[in-house]
Amino acid sequence: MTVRELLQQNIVRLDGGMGTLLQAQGLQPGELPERWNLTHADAVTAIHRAYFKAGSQIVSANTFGANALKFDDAELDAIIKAAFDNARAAKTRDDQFIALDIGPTGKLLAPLGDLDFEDAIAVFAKTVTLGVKYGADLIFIETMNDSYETKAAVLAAKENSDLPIFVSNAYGEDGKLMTGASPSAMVAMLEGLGVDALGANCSLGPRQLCPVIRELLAAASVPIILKPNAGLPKSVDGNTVFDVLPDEFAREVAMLVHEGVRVVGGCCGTTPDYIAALTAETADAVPLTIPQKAQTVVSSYTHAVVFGDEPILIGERINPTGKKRFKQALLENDMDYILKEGVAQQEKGAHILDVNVGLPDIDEKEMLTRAVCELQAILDLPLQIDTADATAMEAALRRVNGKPLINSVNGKEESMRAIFPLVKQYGGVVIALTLDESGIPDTAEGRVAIARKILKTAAEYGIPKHEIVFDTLAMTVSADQGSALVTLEALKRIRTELGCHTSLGISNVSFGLPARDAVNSTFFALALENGLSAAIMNPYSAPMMQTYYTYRVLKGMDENCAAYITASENFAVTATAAPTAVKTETESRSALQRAIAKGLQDEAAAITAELLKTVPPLEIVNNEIIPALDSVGKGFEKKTVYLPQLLMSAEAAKGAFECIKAAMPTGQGNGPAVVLATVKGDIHDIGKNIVKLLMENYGYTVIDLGRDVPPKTVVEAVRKYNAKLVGLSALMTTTVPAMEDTVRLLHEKVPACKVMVGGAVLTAEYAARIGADFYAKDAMEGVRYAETVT
Amino acid sequence: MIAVRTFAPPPVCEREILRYAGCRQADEGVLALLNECLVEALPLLSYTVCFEEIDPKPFAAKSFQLARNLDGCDRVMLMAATLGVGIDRLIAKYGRLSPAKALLLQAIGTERVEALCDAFCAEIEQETGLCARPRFSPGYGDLPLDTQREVLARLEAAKRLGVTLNDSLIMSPSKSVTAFVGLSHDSTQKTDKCRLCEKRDCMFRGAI
Repeated sequence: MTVRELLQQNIVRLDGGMGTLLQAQGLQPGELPERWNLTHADAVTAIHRAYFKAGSQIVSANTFGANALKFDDAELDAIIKAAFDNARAAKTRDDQFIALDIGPTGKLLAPLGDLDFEDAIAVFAKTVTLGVKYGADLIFIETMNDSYETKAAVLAAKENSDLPIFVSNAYGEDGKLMTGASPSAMVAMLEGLGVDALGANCSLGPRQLCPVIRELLAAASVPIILKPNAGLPKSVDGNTVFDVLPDEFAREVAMLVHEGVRVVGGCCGTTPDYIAALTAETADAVPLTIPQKAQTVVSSYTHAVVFGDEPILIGERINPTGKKRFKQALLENDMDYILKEGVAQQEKGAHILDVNVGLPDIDEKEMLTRAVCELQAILDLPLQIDTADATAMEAALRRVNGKPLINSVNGKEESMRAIFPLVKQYGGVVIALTLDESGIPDTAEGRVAIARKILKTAAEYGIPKHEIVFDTLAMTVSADQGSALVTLEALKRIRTELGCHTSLGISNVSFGLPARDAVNSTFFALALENGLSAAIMNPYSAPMMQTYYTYRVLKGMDENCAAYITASENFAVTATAAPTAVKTETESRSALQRAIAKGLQDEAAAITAELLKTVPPLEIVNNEIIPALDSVGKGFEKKTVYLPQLLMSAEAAKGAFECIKAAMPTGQGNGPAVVLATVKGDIHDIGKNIVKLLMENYGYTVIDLGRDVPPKTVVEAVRKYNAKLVGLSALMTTTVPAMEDTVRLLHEKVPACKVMVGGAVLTAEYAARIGADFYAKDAMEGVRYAETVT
Repeated sequence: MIAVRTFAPPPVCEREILRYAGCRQADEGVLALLNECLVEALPLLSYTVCFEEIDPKPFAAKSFQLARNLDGCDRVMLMAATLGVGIDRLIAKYGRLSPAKALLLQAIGTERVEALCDAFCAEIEQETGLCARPRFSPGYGDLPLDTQREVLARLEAAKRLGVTLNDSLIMSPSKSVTAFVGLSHDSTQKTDKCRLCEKRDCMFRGAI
């Protein structure tokens, strides 16, 4: 019998707590329990033996914290070898199995912490490789409280073994992981990655874990694991005691077995007595068949989005096609612009964001990966990875914290060969375009035939049909007035005959026509009625959003029309957008200065847009924006204006600059380059961001290298952009040496470039001692210094 | 044993937040922005503390100032408090979109986690009937910052609170605090925490 066979037809019993029992035998607080595999082998074996005797079919080797962050290579090898020797010594039958137990690394992954995703995979990979070498029957990834770290561990397991993978997460009292994932989000990601079983352990008792388990059961199509604590800990006479006793524990766990849980055990506070009680209580339990949900679902690090009757909006704005300002942002590495597009679309109501950063002159793999990482650091929508470059696709899929949409595959052999293995490896719902080697069929029948072919090939890769969403291709209706009908017909047949979900890039339909929004929104309504599941669309378009909300009302999806009514406030604004009272140019000029002084961003932008109609861009900058900023800056220096006000004014000025940038030809009006970075080892960037904002206001081209930047990278950027000034930030005493290294390397390699430094722990004397050319006590001083050297 | 407690949100002190944001005088605009930030941030915060009564000797042996802080105490609690990662994501978001909001959110986080620590100390004072000394954290005075490793390991903070340490000894979530809390019958040391503090060039000194 194998673990996978055992899992198929049975209620599977795991073991209970290990740490609790080792402590009872003298393990000290702070001592690493994995070392006991070597020093107290008999004690460890005795615990495994007791669990097997109590009825455990799978025990976890004592390897929870056995990883390369805690032990050097030699010791790690010895510990894992001993752990399996100890567990094997306890086995009495062939149908008893030993799991390689993998707990969290103890470090938080970037961007919240500083452990890089690939480094985390490498740490887990070492443990997995040793587990395989010493005879693990399965890999049990447990107690993970972060979805991203969970994904790193699963990828390491997949890439270094063929063993069954069980994954169990630690949910808090709020029913979510510490970093925010809901149980259904975890199901989406983990099933996408192809794990054998998933569930919950630790943190709470069986009763408190009930809601989590029920959500897992409702969403998952693989066996569910439940391995709770023995209730909650209490202190009795200075000793830790858990408040649920074996019989009660067994009854509560068994109750959830009757609801469908298939793999059971105990975590903190549970002992062989608990497992024995559980064995007795579940002896006659009949394993329930696991209903296959076959849901089309994607997820972010917080939540799942399920395809169904409710229309899904996929925001299309992160895409340079036909957008001059976006292209410029990409070429200038201006990630903030891209992030703003992401956040704005979320605010408008997008459910998923399409991410396309392909341009001929950029390294798409690098840029796409970066965009994905930065977007998921600041917003919680599932992403649709949109690229024609399979290498870039793979790099981005690896890094997604969740289960993405993959845009796209099509009926060409070559395309399916490139994309389907990625879907299988990383998980994801893939958009399939109904075209192939012979082009786009001009009949619905032809497109449905391609869809069938794609489904068949996907099945050969082990990809079920619910992981595929078909795009029947909206064509330009002005070129062929019958084309929209073909698209709609194909849509309907795929939804009804093939039972698959669908998507469309809506706005293609109106290409070449005036008032495109009118065509788009009507086509959107027609498509929804013909079975469209998701639209790739522009969430800024009021007519599109009106169609969306109206459709939901008319189809009975919007209880009390509540969403419609809330959204309609915005319709009204769009419809009656009052033209701002006509002002004279002089009035507008002083109004712009006032808006900047008061920090009114939207107003500053609106007035600038108005002024641009009559005044040349550079004149607005030099005569209005800069004087306004200067007066605020002087106030700050005199301490009549404080930091929050300074920043609000700077943001208002930035709003004005955005308008001006859009009005100027690309590349024009760019001031001298300044390179900014938070030094290696330091992850604080608020100070650096403030300096950046002000420098941009004063017309500098800021190359922002971000935080935790190695000295070499700074030097490279100075050379590449021919910068005359570098600004370095460090917040902590511990990272000042890294600042010193960076200054030294800069002076050595690019002696003409000046270096200014700043940060909480620095002083002018200290800055001089580490060789900096200038110490800026605040952002304004930085700007003043820049004016003298560039 | 290590206990974990969740607290109700302590009352918000706007003046304190503005102080952390370096704003001695707030105009309407700043107050409106602060309000916007509070509305967005407060629902994302959790208020969790884990703590254990300890024998402080091994720690006090490393630091003269900690030893002095705890001198004559009847009991000593080691604590770790955190607001969770929600506010870190928000700060990261506005760090890219609006530094003004990021600044205020930073200040909100600092005020909130300090208020959480105060709430914890007040509760412990009530339960023990003793007076809490000013909290003393790794990195204060001559207590090395790397004591943080031991403190977090001792409290199993990664598992219990999700508080971890990075290579530069910074905690994640960033709005987290660890501290020694000495408890004694003597209430005279409770008075002015600024006067007792050794950092005489602190920009916040005497501002409370």
